[in-house]
Amino acid sequence: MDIIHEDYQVRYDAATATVICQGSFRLRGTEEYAPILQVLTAAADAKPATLTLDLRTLQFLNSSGINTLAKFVLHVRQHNATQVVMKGSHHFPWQEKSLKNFQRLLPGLQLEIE
Amino acid sequence: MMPAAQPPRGPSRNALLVEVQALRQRVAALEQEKHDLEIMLEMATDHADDLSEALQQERDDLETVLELTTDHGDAIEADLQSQAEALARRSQFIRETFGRYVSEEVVAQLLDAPEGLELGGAKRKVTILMSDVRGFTALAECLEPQEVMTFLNRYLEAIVDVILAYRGTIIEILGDGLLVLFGAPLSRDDDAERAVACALAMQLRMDDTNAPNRRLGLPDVEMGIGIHTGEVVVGNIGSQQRTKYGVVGSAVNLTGRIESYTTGGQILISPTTYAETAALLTVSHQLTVAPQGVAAPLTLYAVSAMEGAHSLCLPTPMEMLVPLPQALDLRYTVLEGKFAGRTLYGGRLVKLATRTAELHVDQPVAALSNLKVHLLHPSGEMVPGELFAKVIETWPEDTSRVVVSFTSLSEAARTFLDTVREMHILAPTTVPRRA
Repeated sequence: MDIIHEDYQVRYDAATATVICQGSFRLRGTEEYAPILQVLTAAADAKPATLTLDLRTLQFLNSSGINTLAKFVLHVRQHNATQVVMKGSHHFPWQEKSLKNFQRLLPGLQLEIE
Repeated sequence: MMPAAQPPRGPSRNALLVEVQALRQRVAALEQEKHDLEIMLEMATDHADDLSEALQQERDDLETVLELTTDHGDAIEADLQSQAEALARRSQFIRETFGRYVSEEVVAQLLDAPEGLELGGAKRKVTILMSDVRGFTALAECLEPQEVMTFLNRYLEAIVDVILAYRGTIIEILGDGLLVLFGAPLSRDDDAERAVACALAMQLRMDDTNAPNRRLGLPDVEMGIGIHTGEVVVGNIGSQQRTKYGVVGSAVNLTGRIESYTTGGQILISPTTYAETAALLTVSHQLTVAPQGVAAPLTLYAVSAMEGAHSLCLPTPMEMLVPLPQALDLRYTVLEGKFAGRTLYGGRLVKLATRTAELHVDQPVAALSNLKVHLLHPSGEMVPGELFAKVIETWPEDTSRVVVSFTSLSEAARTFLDTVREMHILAPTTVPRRA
């Protein structure tokens, strides 16, 4: 269920229950983001105790992309009791500013910016 | 006897009891219904509360997602803005570093392909041009300080224009001296060719610089130019407070030495530059020098003209053409490539110097054409052997008149011309360019 594209990759490591997003997400709208959302929700639906979303090498995320991540966070909140850990990097200023907002949707979400 | 009429009797007790019973049941049913309705109302209210709560939650979520998306949009916009500012600062830096000393075209190319620009330092093959003004000190002594600056600025303005036109990069302006690179920051296949062409154009431009002084009766200044092709290190040199695009390497020092061998009006080029441009050049003479720090003696080439894309030719300042009392008849063909043309034309040699002559030709020839000339004795007999010459000067208003520079003479032709000179006791064949 990995997605490998010229500009971006989404990989799911079942052993560590980690979804790794890399590159630049510049897709247009909900429709184009559907496959990515599917990878994320499927990982959550496996109901691991902790699900890690590793965004440290995600250089760019457009508005439809942040919407997709919001939908994923809401899905976790509504459907299971999985603890979500989001990993970001100071290297990309948008991550510091935007990722903390997901805690408003899912107060238990753990944020690790390094 | 008739019995007395009985008063009408009411419902029987039993009937009343039945009715009471029925009424009680009715009341009970109504109470049940009321209770049920109350429960239903409560249920409906509870359900509505649930729905409302869910809707509120959804609304809150949507508001949060909207805020989140907007915040994210703001963050991305801020990033893009700072990237745009960084790019603008870089563009500004490139313009400031190079803008004054390279052409606008080079600046545009640098901005288009910043990855091609190695400001940190890179080893490169470049052609280096160094020029220096001769006679400037003498001139400066005749002028007021303000006039000295006016002259210097006029000179630099004219020369810098020429350098930029030939896409040279001006590295240093030290008073009247210039250090120019061809091949950095951007290298081209014709760097050496452009450097030599630029030198010729600079020399030709000197006349414009001198003209206003000449009108004031002031002495002329002349420029010597040295050119060498070699490997150097180019890049930003300096401290954090002050850096500039600079060049280092022994090739720069050697160029300086070559320049120091020049006389006013002369262009000397090194063997490496000559190797890349020889086919296009007219070399007036060669000299062998032994610069300090260079193991083997070095042959330098004095360039006087260039063919090809940059067709340029210096006047021959060291020669004075002396009119002959009687013109010498000649025949000539125009060389095409290495081969002589088939058509033989007639002409006359009317003025003579040591290396040049003025001819009157029956068929016009283009500047820089190469001629194969046969001289004729006054008796009409042909002088054995031939003379090769390059056309270095033409007059649009009189196409029959040309000045040629001898490039190769047969022994017989040389002897014949020497005799002609002696017979007519010519004035000194070399005079200073400007007295």
